[in-house]
Amino acid sequence: MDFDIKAINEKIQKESAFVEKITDQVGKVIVGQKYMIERLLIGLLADGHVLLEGVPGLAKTMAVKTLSSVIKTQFQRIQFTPDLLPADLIGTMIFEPKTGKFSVKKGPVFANLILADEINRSPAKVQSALLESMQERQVTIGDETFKLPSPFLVLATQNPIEQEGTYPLPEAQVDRFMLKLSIGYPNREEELEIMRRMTGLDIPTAQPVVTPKDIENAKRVVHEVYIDPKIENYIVDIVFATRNPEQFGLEELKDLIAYGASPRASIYLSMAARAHAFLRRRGYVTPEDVRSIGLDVLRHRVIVTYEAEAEEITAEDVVRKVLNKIEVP
Amino acid sequence: MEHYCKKCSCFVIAAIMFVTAGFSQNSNRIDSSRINSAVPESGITLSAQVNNNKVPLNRTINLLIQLKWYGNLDRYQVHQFDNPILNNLEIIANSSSNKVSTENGGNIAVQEYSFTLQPKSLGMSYIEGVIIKYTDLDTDTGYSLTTNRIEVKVIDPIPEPGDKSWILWLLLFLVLAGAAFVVITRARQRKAERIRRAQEEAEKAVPLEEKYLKKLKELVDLQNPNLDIVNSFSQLSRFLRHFLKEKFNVPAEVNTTEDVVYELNKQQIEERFIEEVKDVLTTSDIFKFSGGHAEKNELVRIYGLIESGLHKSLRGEIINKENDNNID
Repeated sequence: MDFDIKAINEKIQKESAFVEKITDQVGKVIVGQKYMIERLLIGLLADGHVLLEGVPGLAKTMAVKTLSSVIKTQFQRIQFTPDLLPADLIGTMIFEPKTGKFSVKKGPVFANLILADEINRSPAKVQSALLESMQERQVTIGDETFKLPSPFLVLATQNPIEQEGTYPLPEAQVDRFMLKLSIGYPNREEELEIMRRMTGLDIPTAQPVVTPKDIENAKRVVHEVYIDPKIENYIVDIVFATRNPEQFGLEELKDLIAYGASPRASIYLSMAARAHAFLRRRGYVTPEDVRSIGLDVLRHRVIVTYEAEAEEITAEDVVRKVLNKIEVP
Repeated sequence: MEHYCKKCSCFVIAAIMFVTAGFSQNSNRIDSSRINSAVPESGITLSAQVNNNKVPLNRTINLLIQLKWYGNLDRYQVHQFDNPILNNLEIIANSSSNKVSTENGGNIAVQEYSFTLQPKSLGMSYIEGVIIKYTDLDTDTGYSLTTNRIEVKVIDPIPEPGDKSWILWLLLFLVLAGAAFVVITRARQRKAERIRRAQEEAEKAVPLEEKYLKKLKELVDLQNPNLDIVNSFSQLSRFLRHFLKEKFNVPAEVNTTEDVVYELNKQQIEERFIEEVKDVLTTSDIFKFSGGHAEKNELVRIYGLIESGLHKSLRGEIINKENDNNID
């Protein structure tokens, strides 16, 4: 076989050195939340946007801000509000009286890392403007089309408990996020540490330790991570099981799933698994990588039926059942 | 006297003409009025007719005997009327009726005797001539009338319309066939169940590890020079996962290596055994999924680890002695 696993492993050892630096720096500010930090890095390495969902106060915004501060790159935080306009996001044409011409005023979307805070507080037209730029990685203002910088990563947060005055993201737009993270509460020890750290005189801050070039190099290596056909088939089995569960011995899910995962799920599952393997310093993907990331890739891509909702079965429950049923290769 | 003879001859001629007319009108109708002696002026007639001169064996025919005269209704007294003499037929029902009607200003008296006849066997059957005796009360003279013999052909029976007996037979057949099928199937199932139980009993008698040791030898032949090494790693990994599932009820087939190790750690299993399981699964994962060159030495090592693990399990050496009370 032409594939040289040793060479890939060596590359990974070299290019993944920054991962430890990032986790160290982020760890100075954020207590726990390793799951969230790891997924944010996966999004960064696999070129996939991340939607973070969790109740207020779980350091979602702080984690993203800290991550951006450790990367020497452009960061923009956009607070989504009901009166936000698409032009506030992508920019607009401004008339300059001195020259008598219109000039382009680029919006905050022109940055490497975007924190779209409380994305579901803005109406659909603003969400669409952002989601379009996420997909196309370019923005058109007036007659001119501008390419967005690379890396370009949108990290959006939303609060699941407040429904009034919010504009839930449509399923088609949620699908554009590679990962949807469900952020949970810290454990007791972490809570104590957070309390101590944040009530001290000196609030810790993270230092920039990684350049965008490091990220770009790492992204290239992630694409080289070997994924065996057995693993590819495993991924496709998982995705197909969300569409035709009865073909995989999951008859009980047939009436619970309205729509299964799209082909985008297979693509993102493959890419995210590669990034996961990279973070584990491995040059090849194992079923463990797929299973680890599977829930985050699929939970927002499986739409459950009214029957499932009535029985309080969530998309996450469905995906868990699928992952626990499909035999690993 | 001369006048009387003339009258009589006229009446005879009229009677003959009437009988001839009766024959010509209906072939089935056999009309006869034979005057034994002198026939009264009023013209009493006797007729016998059947509704068909051919009858299937399983059908009936109707015989109608009609005595009819014109004029004074009380003029005649019918003395007796015996049932007709039948050959190859039998009476299954009879009835009689009297009626009076008016025709051309005169009265007509009619006495009718109806018989329903059932053939006895195929061939010809006969209704012998019917004799009726009566008295003309005007003259106080007795007379008799006789009909002709009637032939009826008895033909083959025809199928009964709406006969659904075949459905009953079919249903009976189906029920019996169904019952036989159920009995045979049950018997077979019981036999299969007995065989299965016997096999299970026999299998239970053999320890799980011994079964797996036997399977292991069949699964991978290390002496085979054409052995597919990468595929052998897959087979060994799956083999071990099956064993762990059966032995410890761990969902090893759907779990990743890390999850399998985590599940085993929750049970009271010797740490070294868990380490060996981890070693086997991790090494297999490397060769299965890395796409690199697989080494036979490693395969031999992994094979040896699985084999020795099964032997240890057979000897009960993989359960933590300190906590073995908690293990079933």
